[in-house]
Amino acid sequence: MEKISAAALRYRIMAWVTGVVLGALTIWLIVGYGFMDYANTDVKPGLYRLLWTAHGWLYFIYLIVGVDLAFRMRYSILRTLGILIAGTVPFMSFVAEYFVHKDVMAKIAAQTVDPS
Amino acid sequence: MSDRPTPRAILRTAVTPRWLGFAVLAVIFMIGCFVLGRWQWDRTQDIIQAEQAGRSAPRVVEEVAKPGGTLTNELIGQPVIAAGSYEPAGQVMVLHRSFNDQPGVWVVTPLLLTDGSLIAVLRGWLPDASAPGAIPPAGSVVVTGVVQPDEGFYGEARPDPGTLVAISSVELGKLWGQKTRPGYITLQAQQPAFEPAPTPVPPTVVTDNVAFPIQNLFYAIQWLIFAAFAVVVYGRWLWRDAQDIGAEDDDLSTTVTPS
Repeated sequence: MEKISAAALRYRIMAWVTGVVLGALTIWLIVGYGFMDYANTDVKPGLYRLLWTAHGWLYFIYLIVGVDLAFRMRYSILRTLGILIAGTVPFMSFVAEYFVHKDVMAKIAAQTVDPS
Repeated sequence: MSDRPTPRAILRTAVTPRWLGFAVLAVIFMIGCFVLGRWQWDRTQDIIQAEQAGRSAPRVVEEVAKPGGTLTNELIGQPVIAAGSYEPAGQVMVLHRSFNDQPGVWVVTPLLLTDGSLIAVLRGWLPDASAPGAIPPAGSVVVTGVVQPDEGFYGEARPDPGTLVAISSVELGKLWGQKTRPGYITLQAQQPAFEPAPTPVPPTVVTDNVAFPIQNLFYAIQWLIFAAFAVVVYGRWLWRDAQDIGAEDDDLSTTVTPS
């Protein structure tokens, strides 16, 4: 159980970090291309490019901790894929994290009451 | 439950319709990853090669922009020399082009090369279509400039005769009715110089001073990692289902995964 809650915490952190970065980049992209002429590469700030690169690697860590947690929770492969893909859709990682967290809590509670 | 599944149990699990389906999905996903990774890798190469082209010594335009073909990405930004004579009859004005915040037009003139083909030369900017400098010099000239790709949108729009809103060598070729090379040259210098002349404009696409395409390179690597990831997920979940089957041993009922 401790292992599951540790895995759930790792997943929770990564879901929030990738979710915040991706959400911020999505808004930045809409504002940048819509109102600030980012199609012209000269005005694209370095931080914007850097954050996209960073998001790529953050999502990679999200995948690792997501698979680890899904395996520990004995999720089906389809459910696992759903959780992993949620990390690529802006703001969906928060939704996935909400349900996974609820599920982990329920599982831990069930195990504590009825040790089997 | 946590016993090692026997190879037989793994195999038996792998050939169930459910797991064959996952195998097919995994293969499709991996092919997708390879294609996308390859695309990002090609972009990385293009950007590096275009930077090298942008920094290299000028080449003759005949070698760079071959008639009938398209301009390859790695040659965009290549400095070129073009020798020929302007065809004043084919000159067009590209509308709505500002320079130093002043409204005006771009002057695009066909240059007749020695082999009889045309290349569009963006001679520069003028405040309006009838300003001094609109008329191109007669006789032989040598143009030095940078190769640019066709502009993507509204190439076919012609608000008035002799005017365009975007430079497209395909549309210019139709207009001129003669073999026209792909892309266009943004003029930087011309020999002999002729006054008055349009003000030369900086190239739209600059490739000689771009950052290393680290984003594309990383994406290329990440797509490969994602492909490998599909194998890990498939293998680990197959292993687990095989454990469950092994635990039930001869029970052939489908595995129900508690969650």
